[in-house]
Amino acid sequence: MSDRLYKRVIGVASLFALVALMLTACVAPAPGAQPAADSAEAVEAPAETAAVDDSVSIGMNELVTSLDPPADWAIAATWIHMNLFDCLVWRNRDTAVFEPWLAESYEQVSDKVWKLKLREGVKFHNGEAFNADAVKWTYERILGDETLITHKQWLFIKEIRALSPMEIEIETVDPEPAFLSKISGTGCGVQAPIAGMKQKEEGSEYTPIGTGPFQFVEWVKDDHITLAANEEYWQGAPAIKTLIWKAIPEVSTRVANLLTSDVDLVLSVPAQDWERVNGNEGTEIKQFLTTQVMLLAMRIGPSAKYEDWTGITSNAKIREAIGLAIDRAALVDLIDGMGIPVLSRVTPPTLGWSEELYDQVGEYNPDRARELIQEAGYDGSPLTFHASTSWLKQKEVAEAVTAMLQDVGLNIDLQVLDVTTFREQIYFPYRNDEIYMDALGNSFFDPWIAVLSERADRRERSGWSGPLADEADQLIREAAVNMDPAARAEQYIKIQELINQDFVNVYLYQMYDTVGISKSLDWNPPLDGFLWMGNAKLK
Amino acid sequence: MIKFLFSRILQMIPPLFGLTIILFVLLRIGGDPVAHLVDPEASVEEVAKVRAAYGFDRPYHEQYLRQLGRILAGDFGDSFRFRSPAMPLVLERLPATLELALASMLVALIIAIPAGLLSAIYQNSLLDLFVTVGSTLGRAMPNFWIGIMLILFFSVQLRWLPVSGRDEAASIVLPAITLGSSIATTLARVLRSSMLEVLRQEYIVTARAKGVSQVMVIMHHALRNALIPFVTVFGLQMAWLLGGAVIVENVFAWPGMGRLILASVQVRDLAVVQAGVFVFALVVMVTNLLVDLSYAVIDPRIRFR
Repeated sequence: MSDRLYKRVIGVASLFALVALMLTACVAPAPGAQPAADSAEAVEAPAETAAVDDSVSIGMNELVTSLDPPADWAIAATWIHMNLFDCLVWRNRDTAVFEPWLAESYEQVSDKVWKLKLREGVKFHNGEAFNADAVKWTYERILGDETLITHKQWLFIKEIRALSPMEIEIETVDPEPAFLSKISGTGCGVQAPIAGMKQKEEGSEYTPIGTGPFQFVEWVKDDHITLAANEEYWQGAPAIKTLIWKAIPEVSTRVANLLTSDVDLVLSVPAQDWERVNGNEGTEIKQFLTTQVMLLAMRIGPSAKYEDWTGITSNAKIREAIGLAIDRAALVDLIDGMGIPVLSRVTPPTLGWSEELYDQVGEYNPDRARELIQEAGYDGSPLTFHASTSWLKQKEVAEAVTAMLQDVGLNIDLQVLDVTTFREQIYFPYRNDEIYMDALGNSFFDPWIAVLSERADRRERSGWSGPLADEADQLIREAAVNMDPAARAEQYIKIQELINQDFVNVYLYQMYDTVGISKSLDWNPPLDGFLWMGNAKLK
Repeated sequence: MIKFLFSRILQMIPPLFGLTIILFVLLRIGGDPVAHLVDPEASVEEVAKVRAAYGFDRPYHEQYLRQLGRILAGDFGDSFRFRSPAMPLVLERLPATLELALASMLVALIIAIPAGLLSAIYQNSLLDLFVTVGSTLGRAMPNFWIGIMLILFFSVQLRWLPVSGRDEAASIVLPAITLGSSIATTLARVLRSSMLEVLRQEYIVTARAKGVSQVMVIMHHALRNALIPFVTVFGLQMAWLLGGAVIVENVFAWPGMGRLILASVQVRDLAVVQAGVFVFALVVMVTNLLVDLSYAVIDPRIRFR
C-alpha cells in the first residue's frame, strides 16, 4: 500500500472514530426507574402517568431522605411532604393567617385544651376514610418514636382524645399560645392508619399515604420523585396531573434545565443568571421573601462546653462598637438588593414583629465605634470571626463585615469555612469564639423559636449573663405560655430590645430568594417560597 | 493460572482492611455526624441524647471494632440519611456508575487510539502538535468546567442533547464525553510515546525492508507491541475514572454511586461512604486484575505463575 493510500485509510478510520464517538449514546440502555418500595401495592397507583402537557417538573438542590413527614425536617422535604399530606390546620402562605384544613373548625376550650371538628368525606389515597383514629394514630406515632427527628417538636401534646369519629380534643402539657403554629409544623401530615399499621407489622418499606393533592407514584432516591394528581382531592382535583421533583445539585445545571424546558421551576437562581433566565423566551425570575435572617452572633462569656473562653467581646463597649460599625445598607447592596435590613430576627407577619426593628438600617456610626473601642482599652488582640458559605454571597458579606470592623480599629481573624466544617467544628460543639455569622429561619411563624437560644438554659453559644439576660430569660419563659396575644407580642418586642441593648446579636438583613419559572406555569411563590403545587395551573 | 488468581484475590484483603481504618479516621475522627442529625436549635442535652442513641459517645476504638465486626459479617450498617441499610443503597446505584464508566472508557479509546497513532506516525507534524497541545489542555481543564461548557453548547445552544439526568439513552453522551475525554488525553500521550519507541526497533525496520505494507507494520507489528504500557495505564485510569465520576455525576445529576458518596460525605453518613468506597475499591482491584490477565492475550509470551 502506498503512503498516500495508507494516509487515506488512517483518515477514514479517524472519521469513523468520531462518528462512533457520537454513537456512544447508543451504548446506554434506557434506564427504567424502579419503584421505591415493594409495599407500593398498598397504594392505588394511577393507571398511567398523565398526559405530558399536564406534567410539571421541579429542579431541586436535594430531595427528601424520607417520605415519612416526621422523619425529615429539611425545608425541601417539607415541601414534598405537604403535596402528599394534609395537616389539620393550614398556614395561608399569602396572608399568614391560619385556616381550617383537615380540621373543619377548631376552638380553644381552655388554656390547655383545644377541640377540633374534622372534615367529613375526606379519603386517603388508598381509599381509607379520614377520621379521628387517623389523627390519633399519626400524632401518637410521633410521640412514641424518639428516633423521629421531629419527635421533640411534638412533645407539647399531652393527650389526644377522640370525642367522636369526627371530633377530637388535644390537651397540651402547658398553656400553648403557639398551638396552631405547632400543629401545622413539620411532620403534621395526617397518615392513613390501617395501611401504616400494616406496613409496621410487616416491616415493609414505608409508603406515603396521605390525603394531599398528589399521590405517590415512585421514588428513585437522590434522583427523582414522581407524584400523580389525587383526582378525588377534597378541594378538587389539581390541574397538574403529574408532578416530578428532580434532584439537580449543580446550580448551573439546574438553570440550564430551565432554559431548555426540561424543568418548569428551579430554586435559588444566582444573580448572575437572572438576565439569562429573563432573556430566555418562556422563562422568568420571581423573587420571594424567606424567613431567614442573617446575623452576627457574639460570645459574651464562657459556657459549659467552652469553660476556658476569654475574649474581647465580653466587653459591652466592644460589642456596641461592632454594632455601630456595621453598614447594613452597604451589605444589602452587596447582595444585589436581595435583603431587607433588620434589627431583629422576628419578621412580619410573625407575632411580636416591630416596625422599629424591621426594614431599618439601624445606627451606623463608625466614629462613635472608634471612641468606644478606645474607651474599652482595646489592645489590638484578634477577634475570631467564623462564617460559612451556606448562603447567597455569604463569603463576600463576611469579608465586607471584616473590612467594616477593621475600619474602626478591630483586629479581625476571619475564618470562612465550608458549611459541613462550620456545623461540625464550630456550631454544634458550641466552640464559637467572639463572632460567628449565620442565617436562621422561622418556619413556625411564631416568635418562640426566634428567641429560644437566649433562654438561660440554652446560652451555650452566647454565654450571656447579667441583669438584662435574667430579664430576657424570665420574659421568654412567660411569653411561651402567655395566652393573651397582645401581651405576648409586647413581651417578645421587649425581649428583642434586651438582646439589642446588650448587643448579643447584631441582625443584618432578612433574605430574599428566587425561583426561575416557566411562563407556562401559573404559580406564584408564596410568602416563604413554600412549594405547595395543589393550586398550580398550566397556562 | 489458578494459583495466580488465588494469590491476587488474597492480596486484595489487606488494602480493603486498611481502607476501613482510613475511612473511619477521616470521617469519624475528622468530623461529627451528630451535627447533621439534629436541628439548628437543638440543646446540649438533645445533642447528647442523639449522640448516645447512635453510639457515638463510645470510645473510638470500640466504635471501630463494632463497625469492623459488622463489615466482616457483610453488614455495612444503616444510612443515617435514609434510615435503611447502606450496601443496598450503594448497589442500587452501581449500574448507573458502571454504565457511565464503560461509556467513558469507550469514548477514551475512540479518541486516544487514533490520536496516539496519528501523532506517532506523523511525529513533529502539525497534527502531532495539535494532539500534544490538545492533550495538555484536556488534562489541565477540570471535569466540572468541561461538563458545564458541553451543557451550555450542546444542550442550551444547540438543543441536541439532554442537559442532565438518566431519563433517556442520549443522556449519557455528555457525561461520557466529559469523563472519557479527560483520560483520553493521558492515554493518547502514552500510546504516542510507546509507538515512537516501538517504531524505532530493528524488527520494524526489517519488516519495512521486506516490503511489508505500512498498515501491516503499524497495526500488526508496532501497535500490538506498544499496547502493553497502554493497557497498564488504561487499567490504572479506572481509579481516576471512578474518582472523576463523583464530580461528573454531580454536574450532570447522574444517579450513580459517585453522587451518593459525595452527598454522604457532606453529612458524614459513614455507613454509606464506607460501603460506597469499598465497592469502588473492589471495582478498581478487579479491573487491575483483568488488565494483568489481558497481558497474556496481547503478548502470548507472557505466562502467569
